[in-house]
Amino acid sequence: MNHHAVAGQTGGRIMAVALIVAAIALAIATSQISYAFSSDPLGPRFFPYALALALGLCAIWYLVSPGAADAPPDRIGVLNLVGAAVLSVVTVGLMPYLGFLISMGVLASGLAWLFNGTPPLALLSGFGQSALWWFVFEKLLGSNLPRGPLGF
Amino acid sequence: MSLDYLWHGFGVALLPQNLMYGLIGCFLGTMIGCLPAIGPINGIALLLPIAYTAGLPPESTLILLASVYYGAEYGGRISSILLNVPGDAGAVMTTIDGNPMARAGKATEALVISGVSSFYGGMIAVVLITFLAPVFGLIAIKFGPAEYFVLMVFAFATLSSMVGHEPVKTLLGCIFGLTLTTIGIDATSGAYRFTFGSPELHDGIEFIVLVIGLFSISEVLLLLEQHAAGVLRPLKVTGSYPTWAMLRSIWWTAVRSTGIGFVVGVLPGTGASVASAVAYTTEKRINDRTGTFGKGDIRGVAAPEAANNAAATGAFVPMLTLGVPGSGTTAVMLGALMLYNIQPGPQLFTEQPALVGGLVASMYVGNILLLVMNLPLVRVFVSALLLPNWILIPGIMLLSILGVYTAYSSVMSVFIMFGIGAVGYLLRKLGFDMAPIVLGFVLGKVMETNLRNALAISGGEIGILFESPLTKLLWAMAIAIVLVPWFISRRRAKQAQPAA
Repeated sequence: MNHHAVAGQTGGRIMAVALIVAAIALAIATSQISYAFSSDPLGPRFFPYALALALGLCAIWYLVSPGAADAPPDRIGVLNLVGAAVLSVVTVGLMPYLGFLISMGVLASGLAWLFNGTPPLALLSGFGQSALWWFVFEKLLGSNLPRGPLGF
Repeated sequence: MSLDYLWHGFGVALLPQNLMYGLIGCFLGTMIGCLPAIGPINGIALLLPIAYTAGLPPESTLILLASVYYGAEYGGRISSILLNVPGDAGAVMTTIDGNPMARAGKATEALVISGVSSFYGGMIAVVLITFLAPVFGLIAIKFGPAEYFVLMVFAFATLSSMVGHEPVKTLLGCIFGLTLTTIGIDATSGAYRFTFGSPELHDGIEFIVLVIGLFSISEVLLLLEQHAAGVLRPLKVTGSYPTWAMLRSIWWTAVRSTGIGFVVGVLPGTGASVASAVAYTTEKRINDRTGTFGKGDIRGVAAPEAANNAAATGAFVPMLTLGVPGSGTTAVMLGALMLYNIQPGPQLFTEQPALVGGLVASMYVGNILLLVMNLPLVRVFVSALLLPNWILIPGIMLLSILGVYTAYSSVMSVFIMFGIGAVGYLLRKLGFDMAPIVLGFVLGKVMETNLRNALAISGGEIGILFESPLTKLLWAMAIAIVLVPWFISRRRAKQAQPAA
């Protein structure tokens, strides 16, 4: 068995343990669902309990035979993924304050740069796309996109 | 039923102004369908007030709105095939074989096959509406909670065909999807389930948020990783059209899937996503002898596309015959009829022949328009794949955020989509398919609600699930769809043994 397959199997086993914990958490959270009255004999807890049981059993099966999986990303891959995630969360979080056009322009430019666009082209493409979709959704389709201090 | 209304209808639908409204609707629908998350319901909700204030007669309004609706079913497949991002709910299954075809350089073939299957599905379904609408309307009202529950059991049974060489991952995917449906306020008891005090979760996880997160965001993350590792290659586009033999070979797949799609579409509350899922899994059950489904089989593209168009057409049956909408989109159209003081119901066919006939005739015309319009546009759509990644991938990201934000006007929904996308990325890395998760999600809520409603009606007596002839038929079909292929493969193995 090669190094990648072993790394993939380890990933599968970690996921299986996480799923077993999730099944237990689901069962505990289900026991805490409170309701005064239900018009049906099963009530709101039956389905989640059944699912927690099924999830737990399948997760044990998965732990025993995790099967094939891809190798985890290398260091540069992880850096790229973390960078994209942080950029996305920050720009979307700032969208109500900066407005759609600016925040999404920054996000699209940043992603374009991560995909090897040269900085001027990344900025042009990022802000160009942001402006295009802002125009389509705000002006043509009448959606209410977040407005920044400049009104767009 | 006399077909006079239809001849009358062709007179209405072929009027130059109505042809123009049909053409505009088909074009807008295709474009709306292309955009992830901007489903037909948004397009119709936008156009209805414009059409009404512009003083369009009711039949023209209905023709315009209906052509947006089935245009979107055509358009939804385009981003599914090219980008692995479903354009609408009914196009989720099209990603399974459509995107592998595009990756293998066969995007043109996949788009033409899906366009032609959509045409087959739409056309056969209109013929069914023309002759059998009232009959199907009567079947739809025989479906109570018990029948719906068993129908969902049947849909899950068809899923057994999705079980590949790692059944545990398919099962876990399904359970994951089912679990997500339990989030939100429970409709039967009013209990808050797993909302953790967040008002955004009161209505549960929205379908659009789930699908865009699982498919689109996880795709962007995977592409980013491949790019960093230097293994992301530009896609080849050969541009060859499918042969006549290929188009003929999908005929029976399209016929079977249309039948499934139409029946599921007629039933209120199910819709194109369930229809395409059941059609795909059934087709895989019947035809996947060499394990090509999921790797770019043309029948895997044809089945969901024929089914989702048939379901979109079928959804008109309960709306026109009973005044009960078969989907969210037809609910808005029902509102359009009421805006014009027209009461839908069985008498509609006799009292408003121009309206019903015009609508049905416009479906024949609209399907032809869509096919004629879509085939030459295939090359334009495919050229999107030739854009460099630094333009294409930020574009996918922006459209995903826009799709969710415009639907719910909430930044929190976008964050939930990101979270689901990250989980989707992890699961895809670990070899999980996204389709079982979506199917568990689509079927789960209908299943739980109807099981509980059925048992509430019977006072806890489980026999209600087996009583009516329809439930018996559905149980028999569910058992057959699991057991028959198993028996057939056993018999084949036995026959092969003496020969060997």
